[in-house]
Formats: sequence, structure tokens, C-alpha cells
Amino acid sequence: MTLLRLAGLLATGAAAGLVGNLLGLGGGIFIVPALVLVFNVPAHAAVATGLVAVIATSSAGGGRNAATGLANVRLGMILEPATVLGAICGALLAHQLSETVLLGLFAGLLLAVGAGLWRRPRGNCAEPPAGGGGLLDGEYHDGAAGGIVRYSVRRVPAALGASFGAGLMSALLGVGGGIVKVPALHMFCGVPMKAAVATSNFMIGVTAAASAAVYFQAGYVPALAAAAMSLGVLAGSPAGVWLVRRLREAALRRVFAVVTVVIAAALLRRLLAG
Amino acid sequence: MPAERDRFGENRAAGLALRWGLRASAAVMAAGVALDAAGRDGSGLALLGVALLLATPFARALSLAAVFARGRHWRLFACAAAVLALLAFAFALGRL
Repeated sequence: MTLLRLAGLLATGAAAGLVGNLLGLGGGIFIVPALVLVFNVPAHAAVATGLVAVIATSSAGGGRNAATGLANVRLGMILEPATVLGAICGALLAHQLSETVLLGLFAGLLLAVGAGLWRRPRGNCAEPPAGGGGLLDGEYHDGAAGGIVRYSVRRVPAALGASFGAGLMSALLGVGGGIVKVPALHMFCGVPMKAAVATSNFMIGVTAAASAAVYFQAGYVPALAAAAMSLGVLAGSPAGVWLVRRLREAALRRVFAVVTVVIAAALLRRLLAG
Repeated sequence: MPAERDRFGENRAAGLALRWGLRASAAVMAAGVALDAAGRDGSGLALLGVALLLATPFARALSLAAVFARGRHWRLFACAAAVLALLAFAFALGRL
């Protein structure tokens, strides 16, 4: 590997680590196209490298967010069996679904999610009832709001369904599935955006590990490129974790909505181009 | 205040497992990449580092299963155990 290529992989990884931790995405959604278009990596190897980078993003941000309580570890634990099951089903279905149908559905879902996040859902985040909360209720210190935020978790079955779908998507597209998990946790369960981002980040490592294990054993992981990309992710992740604690909730939601619509537009463009 | 937050020490356990897994894998991956940059074969070390990184989520799920078992919270333990079983199944699937 040339030094220029190494520097490029490290820089791409650092950018993906920052954005991934800021938005609760694994970064695979940026890494896979970059590897294919800029570094000329074959598609399967790019997907495998993207999944490895997702694990790096999740482990870097998830460790810190779990320790500080921003990630809701118990909620993540309840949802993880569904997301891993989805990832396994996705790995089994990968070659049987029409890519056009899959990408079309995915783009439609992203547009709906983006619109839902842009229009602020009123009264979305439920306060826990007085006198003690439930097993999954959470709290964290919000640096931007300057106080403790407490919330209750509701509609867990809906989040279980969304987690299954996110796992399915992870295996089929080589992403972490945060683009589905974050809006589901926020809009269905009433989890505040920052906690949703942190909890999604905590979960996506396990989702990606299930898919990555299959790719790893098939010999698709280019070790040096994946290592360089992951080291870049580890360098960029602390900045994303730092930023998410300081950004205002509304700003974070709007940024996520814009990213969602941009990705949907890119997918639709690819579909229309045939 | 939400009831029983971090009663079992799950936040600390998950954080520790992720941080140590990441440190170990990053050190090995960095050694592999540095060897390659120096013109020697670092691909073996890089592969070992990637394998350690893949094992980190397993270690995290295992540490949470242990924490919930120790706290006798069987519903959360069942979830952690289910994740471990499904990850093991995914690993076995890759070998087929």
C-alpha cells in the first residue's frame, strides 16, 4: 500500500468516524461508496470493510456513551436479538431479492423518515412518571441544555420490528442500520434524539458483527485496508462523541433529516440511471 | 429518577469490554499498518487486529450476560444470551 493510499484511507475513516458518532450511523453508508469510487475496491470487499469500520465506530463511541449513561444499555440489549436475527436473515436473503425493489423500498422509507424528523413531533419525549420509572427509562446530562434529561421508553414492540428491519438492511447493504434505528427510537419509543443516537451507536456494532463474521470467513475482508480505515475511524470518533453532547437536540434532528433525504435522493438517482 | 439505573453495573461493564477490545485491536492493527508502511509484510498482524475488532461486540455481549446473571435479572440475561447464541450461529453460518 502506498503512503498516499494509506493517508487517504485514514482520512476517510476519520471523517466517517466523526459523522458516524455524531448521527448514530456506523459510517458504512459513506465508506462503502468511497471505497468503490475513490479507492477502486471491489464491491464485496468494500461492503466487508464498511462492516468492520461500523464495528470500530460503534465500539469507540459506544464504550464512552455506555459509561456516561447517554446510551440506554438495557433498551439496546432488549432490541439486539431482533437486529441480529434480521442481519442473519439478510445474509441468507442477500442473493434472492431484486436489488431494484430493495433499493426502491429503502429510498421510500428514508424519505418518509426524513420528512418525519424535519417536522418536529410534538410532545414526543415522554417524562417518566413521578415516583419511579420503568426498567428501560433513562436519564443523561445534556451539555447544550445545561441539565439532566429524563425520559420514558414506550412502544418497544414497534422498535423491535424496526430493529429487525435495520438488521436486514445491514446485511444487504453493508451498513450499520442506524439510519433506521435512530428515527425508530426517537419517533416510536419517545427516546430523546441524543440518547437515540448513542443507543443506536451502541447497538450497531453487534448488528455489523453478525454480517461481518460471514464476510470475514468468506475471505472478503482486505486486512490492510480494513485496518487502516478502522484506525482512521478510531481517530475521528472522539470528535463525534464530543460534538453530540454539545449540539442542540433540534439541530441534531435537522442534520439527520437532511442526511437521510440526501441518501434517499442518491439511491433514487442510481435506480433511475438503471 | 429512573428506577435502578446501572443497578447491575451494566454501563460500566459494557464500557470496559468495548474500550479494552478496541485498545487491543487498535494496537495490533496499527503494528500491521506500520510494518506495511515500512515496506514489510504487515497483513498477518492487520488480519489479527481485524479479528480482535470483530470479537469486541461478542466480548461486550458476554460481559453484559455475566453482569445480568450476577444481578439475577433473567429477562435481560435472556436477551444477552440470545444475542450471543445468534452471533455464534452467524459465525457458524459463515463457515458453511
